[in-house]
Amino acid sequence: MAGYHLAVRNSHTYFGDQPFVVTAIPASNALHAGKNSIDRPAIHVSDCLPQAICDPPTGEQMDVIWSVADVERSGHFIFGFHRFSHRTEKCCRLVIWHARVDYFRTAFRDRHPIVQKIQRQMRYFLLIGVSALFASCGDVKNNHRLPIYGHHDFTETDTVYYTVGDFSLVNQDSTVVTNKTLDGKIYIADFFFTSCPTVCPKMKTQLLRVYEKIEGAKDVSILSHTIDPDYDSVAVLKEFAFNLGVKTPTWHFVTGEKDSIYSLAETYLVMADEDPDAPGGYIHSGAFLLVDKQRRIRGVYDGTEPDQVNILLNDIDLLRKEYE
Amino acid sequence: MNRVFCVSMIALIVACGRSKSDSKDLPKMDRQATIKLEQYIVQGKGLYTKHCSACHQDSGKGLASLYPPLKESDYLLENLPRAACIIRNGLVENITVNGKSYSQMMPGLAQLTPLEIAEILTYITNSWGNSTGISGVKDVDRWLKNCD
Repeated sequence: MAGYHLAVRNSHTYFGDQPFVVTAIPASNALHAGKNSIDRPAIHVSDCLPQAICDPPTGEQMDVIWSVADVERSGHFIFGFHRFSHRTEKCCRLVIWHARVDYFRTAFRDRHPIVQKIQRQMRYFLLIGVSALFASCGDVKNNHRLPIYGHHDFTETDTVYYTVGDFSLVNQDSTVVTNKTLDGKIYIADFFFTSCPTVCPKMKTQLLRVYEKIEGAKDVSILSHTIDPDYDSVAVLKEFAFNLGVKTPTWHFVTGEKDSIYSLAETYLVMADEDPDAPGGYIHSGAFLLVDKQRRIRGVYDGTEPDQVNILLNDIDLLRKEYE
Repeated sequence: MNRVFCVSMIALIVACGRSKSDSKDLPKMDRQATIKLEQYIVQGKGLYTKHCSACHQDSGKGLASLYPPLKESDYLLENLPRAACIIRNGLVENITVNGKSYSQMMPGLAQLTPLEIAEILTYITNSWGNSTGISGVKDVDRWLKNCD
């Protein structure tokens, strides 16, 4: 039985930066088997620190509704599951995880235990070596193709990639922004609200770096969705953008129907929702999503971490090269 | 050998010089006050990083025209009781900081104790070039009781 040993890096809102380790087992061996055994693994929580705030509790099996397919190639792994909220007693909230593969093991159960042990130890040495290599490169890779996130369907002749949903929203200049508006552009998407007291200001500080890089570019846009359209009217977004120093229409601050924005967020594989218990009244992912000209998600970055945004800045160039 | 001797002599002189000036220039009370100020600043820095730095930035410079600076901020430094109240209760009205207008709402931190507010206030008024001195918990407690 092959398994993935994952370190969850960004568990969005629920756990902050708490270290959290899960094991993903391909669904062929799991309770909730899907059609595609690679695409729909069951997630088994094997370790969680600190134990006191483990959620879900250690050992619990969760129904994974989707995840990325090319986990081994990309080194990234995103999955989502429905969670029963014990606090609000409401079922079910979609929880999105973003994990990075630190170490994955292949089947070697048929071999002798001592051989297994040696192999295991060698693997750790290899891991340390590879980690050191990455660390020395500053985690920014220049010569690889970005992964394509989401569930892929396979027809007899072709692969149908996952794309983000259709939308029709209004930006800070009262202009309607749809998929058509962003035709022929790659873009960076995020979800925020202007009165957010927690992660959003950090995200905006970092997104401002992205804006400074692409300001004036014709092939790249930024799409910041408000998840609080009741308060964040066009006028509020206009003032916010102005005060942030955004002068060109490269950066859209968009609003629309609340429910449609929340379901749109799900198509970006991130979460956004109301939560009276959360500071500011909303709960949402701090992720930046890099979307290509075919509306496929090509990168997910923690928008509160300058190091992650360095990788994003590099990946924007990598993605642009694909279209040269 | 000569070089080693030289280096150790210099080290000795430096060490003596430092301990002398410490004990001579600062009377006992001042030393205690300095230690208290340092403690406030260390605690305040941790709280600032957790509650404030997302907007006002680690550098205290704020962000564009959205979040005002604390570094060399006339609005902050001219009225410390007002600042303590803003940390607790937040702020919705427009303010002018160093001649520039800011309108973004600031959420309050009602959960903080007077001591924690005193530590944050002391940190932000004694960092990045600001040097107001300590805002003690007794003063801050009094200020907080008289918020508008």
